[in-house]
Amino acid sequence: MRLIYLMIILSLFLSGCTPPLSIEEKAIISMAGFDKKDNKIQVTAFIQNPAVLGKARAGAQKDERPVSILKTEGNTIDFAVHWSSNFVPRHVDWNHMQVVILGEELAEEGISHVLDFIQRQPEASTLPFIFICKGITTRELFERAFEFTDSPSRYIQEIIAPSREHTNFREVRVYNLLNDLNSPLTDIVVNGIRLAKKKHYVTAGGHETFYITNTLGVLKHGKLAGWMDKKASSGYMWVKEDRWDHAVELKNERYKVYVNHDITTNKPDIKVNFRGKDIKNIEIEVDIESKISEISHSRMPLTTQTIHLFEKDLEVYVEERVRHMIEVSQKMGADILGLGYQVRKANQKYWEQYKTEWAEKIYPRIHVDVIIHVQVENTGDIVEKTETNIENK
Amino acid sequence: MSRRKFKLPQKQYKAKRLTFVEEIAMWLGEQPDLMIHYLKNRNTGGTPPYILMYLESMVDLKKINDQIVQTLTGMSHEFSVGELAERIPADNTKEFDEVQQAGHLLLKGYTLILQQRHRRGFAVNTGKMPQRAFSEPEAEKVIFGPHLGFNEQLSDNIALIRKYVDRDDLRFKSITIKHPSDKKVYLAYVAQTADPQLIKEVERRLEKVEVKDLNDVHYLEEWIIDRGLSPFPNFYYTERPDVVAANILEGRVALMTGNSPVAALLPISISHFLMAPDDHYYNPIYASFLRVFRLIAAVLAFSVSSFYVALTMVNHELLPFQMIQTIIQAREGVPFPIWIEVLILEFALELVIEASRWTPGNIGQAITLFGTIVVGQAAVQAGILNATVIVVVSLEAIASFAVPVYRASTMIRLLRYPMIILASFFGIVGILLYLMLIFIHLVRKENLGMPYLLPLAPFDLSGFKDTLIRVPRKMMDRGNLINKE
Repeated sequence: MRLIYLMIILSLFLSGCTPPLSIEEKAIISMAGFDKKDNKIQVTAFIQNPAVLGKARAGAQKDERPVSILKTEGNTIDFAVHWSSNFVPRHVDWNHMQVVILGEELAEEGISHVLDFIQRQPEASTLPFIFICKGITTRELFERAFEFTDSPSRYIQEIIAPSREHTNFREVRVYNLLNDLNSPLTDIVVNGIRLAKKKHYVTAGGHETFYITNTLGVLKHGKLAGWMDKKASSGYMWVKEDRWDHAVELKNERYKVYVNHDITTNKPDIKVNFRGKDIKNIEIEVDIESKISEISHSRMPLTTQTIHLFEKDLEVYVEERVRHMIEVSQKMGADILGLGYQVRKANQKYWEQYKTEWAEKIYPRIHVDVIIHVQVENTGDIVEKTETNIENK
Repeated sequence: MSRRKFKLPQKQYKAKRLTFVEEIAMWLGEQPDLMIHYLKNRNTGGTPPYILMYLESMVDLKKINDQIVQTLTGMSHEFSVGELAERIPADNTKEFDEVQQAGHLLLKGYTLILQQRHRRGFAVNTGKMPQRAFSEPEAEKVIFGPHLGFNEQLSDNIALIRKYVDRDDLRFKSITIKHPSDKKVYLAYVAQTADPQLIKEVERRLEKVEVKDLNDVHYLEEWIIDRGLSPFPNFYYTERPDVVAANILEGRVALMTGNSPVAALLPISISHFLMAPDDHYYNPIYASFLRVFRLIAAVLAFSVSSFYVALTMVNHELLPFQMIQTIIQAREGVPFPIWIEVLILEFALELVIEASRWTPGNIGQAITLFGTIVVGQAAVQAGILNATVIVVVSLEAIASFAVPVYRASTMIRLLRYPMIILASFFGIVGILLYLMLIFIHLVRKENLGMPYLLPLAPFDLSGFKDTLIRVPRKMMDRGNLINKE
């Protein structure tokens, strides 16, 4: 028994060599950017210093800000980070990163070593959101963001929350990327981020703000292969993401009215059809249910026929986008929908034979059929009068 | 009748031959309340035939007057000691012929009747012990249910138990333990439910007890327990007759001594410390909720500050980002490391508890107020402590008072100190290893042969009926009614 007690007590000393550091002795990084310039890795990070807020509360040193920018560079990320300990007064802590932003140039060369660095941090969190900077370097983005916010990561998270439903925002976190990079069957799609003038949301300062782009970047084998346009990105979202509460405004040519569809469900289904040993086609079927929430001509009578027309409009709208997305991805040779995975599921032998040629040769030429079914569940109106038997008599 | 306080013969006793009365007084030593009466018989007159001896503070003077003085003075002629026994209207009488025997009887409140020139005497029980009325025990107050507690009179306490356990197989076994004046301890149990082995074992262990002093049943705990020292309480102490009744009906044994309102219930398991006396007087759903709630309170009381230290000193990665910001803001300018800060506050908490325990009620309030203002507000403003630590330790203190058994809550407060220190060096790993050590101790601990962690280890589903939750009485009692035969 004594031996057991002794072993338990001794095992305490196996608990690692991280020295216990009080929480305020750490420089906590809330958001980090990685970019490449002149063949060197540039690391830019926001270090939160909440103690300043505590001081400010006590009425001292009001000119100090609770956030500072760390700028460092090196041929490897790890060296750049270690180098930073020369000028950061506290221990840099990477475990609480909320957002990681990758520069476009770095993304084109490959992001795996950045992910590797994040993973290697002791007690690393793989939860941060990941974005690719579009049309601006990360350092520039961080410097300009420093002018308008004390808590950039929180700012981005605040934008993300409503974006999930209404834009082409795809929630990608570091662990999603790690998983996808390790499974070669699917190429990855990541949101872009840039700065935009506050056109729609005006604050007292009227500063710039972060803007999560509606265009999605395609990462092929961990390298940025290109950006999809807005239409293709939307098509991707219809097949891969839940579009619940998404609003689509469509014009009906026949009645000259605008109809707003409020999407309730979108269920995608992918089927691979074979003819003999070869793939005949791939069918992408999406069943959509929506509610008509508003029609611009408020007195327009809704009948079963008109509703069918509106359903048709939405079908055409979605089909156009999905088709466009497939064309774009076939041009890039990036199987972003994971069709290869469906093929492997449907015919293992075929996959084993052609998997090396799939991305470059087969996927770009494959015939994809898109079938969209829309059903309007609810209009909020009584479509046809209910007639009782008594009235008929 | 002449009556005087007895004074010890000083130096001359060696020269003079002492009477039996004087010898008894000598044996007793300095006793300022020792009274000696020389009774004159109305009918016979002459030398006083009877001498009464008693300790004034321990007797009922009315009883002496009614039972002894009236009888003796009204007798037609002098009787011998043996004959007196039949004539005095008292039920508890004893004869003696030794000085020591007489002295013991005096100390128990007897009145001695002696005759001059005889070395024999006769004693009548006229004792009147100081006695307290029944009241509700301070530490076990209930909102609903009987508001009755034991007093310091063993016979009264036995009567109360008899009243609550209305059964013909209720037994009180008296065991004499080794003590300078052979103290008696009573074991109360219900013959049909109590395990005879258990009673034998308790008896066996009580026989080994040797105490210099026995003011209370607590003195026996350390003699009876199975293994050496343990911070966990071994007995469940109660001053409530309804709690004793409920427990002995379940097969437990109650241990009682004279001069103490406390009864010890044994054997018990750790789950007893979540039970409050009035759980059985509430709706079972609410009672179960309260018990689960108390378990949560016990866990919080035990672990909140250690987790706070571990999360802020070692395992920051487990804290949400916003929380970190709040804690760092609060800690701005605090000169101590977090674990010292926590220990300072824990120490202050113990200080306030201990100080308010020993001060009279009205001054106690001042201490609490002072403690609250100084520790709670001024310390934060002065930058000595941070506000989050105060929230954490206060939460822990309040949670520890939600544990219904005071001994359990003190044990919880005691056990968390090593955990705070381990957490500050090893973080969550330290806490887990400390918990492992405690669990190993608990699993090994037995209470008179009963595993201390019952019904959790060894697992017994039916044991949960009245431990962590309380099922409706129908489910508890049905099929368990003891056959009266």
